[in-house]
Amino acid sequence: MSKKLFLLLVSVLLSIYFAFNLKAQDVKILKFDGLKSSLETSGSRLKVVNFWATWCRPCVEEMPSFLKFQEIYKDKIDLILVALDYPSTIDKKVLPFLKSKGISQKVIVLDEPDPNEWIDKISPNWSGAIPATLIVDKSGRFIQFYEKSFTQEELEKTITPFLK
Amino acid sequence: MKHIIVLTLFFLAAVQLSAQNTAKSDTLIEAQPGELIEGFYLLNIDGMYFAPQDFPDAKGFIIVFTCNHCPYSQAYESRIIELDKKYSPKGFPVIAINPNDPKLVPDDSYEKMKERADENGYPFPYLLDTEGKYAKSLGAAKTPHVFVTTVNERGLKVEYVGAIDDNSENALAAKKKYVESAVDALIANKPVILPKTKAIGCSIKYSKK
Repeated sequence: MSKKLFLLLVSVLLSIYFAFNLKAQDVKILKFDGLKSSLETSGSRLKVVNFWATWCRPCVEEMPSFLKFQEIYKDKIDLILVALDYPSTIDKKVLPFLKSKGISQKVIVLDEPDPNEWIDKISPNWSGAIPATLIVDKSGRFIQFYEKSFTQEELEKTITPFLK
Repeated sequence: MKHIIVLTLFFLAAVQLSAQNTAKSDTLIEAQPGELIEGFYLLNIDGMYFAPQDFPDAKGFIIVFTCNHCPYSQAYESRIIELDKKYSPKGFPVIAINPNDPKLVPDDSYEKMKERADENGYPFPYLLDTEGKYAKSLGAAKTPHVFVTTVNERGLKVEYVGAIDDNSENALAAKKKYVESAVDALIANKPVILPKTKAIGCSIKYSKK
């Protein structure tokens, strides 16, 4: 193999590696207060906050619907994926999952061992089961909470009325 | 007539509001501390049916909705075994109940329940809640979801509902052992200081009937 070809191959491989790594780097670890204040910050879009985990089958199943929905309404909503995986499993579970699904969406990993301290602050109606989804309006108010799975159709029906 | 229209409008607005406040798909209403609940009557992995009457010495029960497949249940498995070892002799045996529909989660089938209980030496009954009827009657939403009860002449009284402790990942790092504190208080005839907590768990895969 010529030296040139070899260098080309290496650079292609490196750029693929970095492209994937860049995608996967968008994981942020937050304490609950950090999450809360980032949600309560007013913005120009409606926030759809999905609580999920790599080990939660219905969460993984509904994720493509959320991603598609966000793609369609990207000028109007921000999709925030909050992973409830243990922070110690980010490298082993969360990053490989995001990589394998090609998810470039920003993901927050919540670093709080005791859910009893914060579940009610998201919604008193939340039992703690996931998947669960919170809607935050532009001014940062928590306006609706759902402890259920969504199809893309259901997202359209349920969330688009908040955009009016 | 005018009054009726106004009243109707109020009524419609109220219905609208209450509909907004409860956006859960299935409305599960969790049995609260102080409430009386029905006793279980469910098939154990040994082929026998179990009911509270089968535990004549029990002062109460640590009812744990759990299952095979859920990582949170797995993380708590050894702690559930320890709870039974510690509290069964003191009159509060663990009753583990799997409410998941095996059609939705094959790992939670009756056969797989037997395997898991054998492999890990469950000292407590591991009951199958076919179609999740019992779990629904208690408003259980996730695994693990614990209901500590006492026994009285009218049935089972909920004394504590919620999480096992404050750290699902690491038993050694758990500082607040919610279930232990509740059962210790009950054994000492003292009020349960924290009768209700919440935890993250796997949603119960109720059969879709």
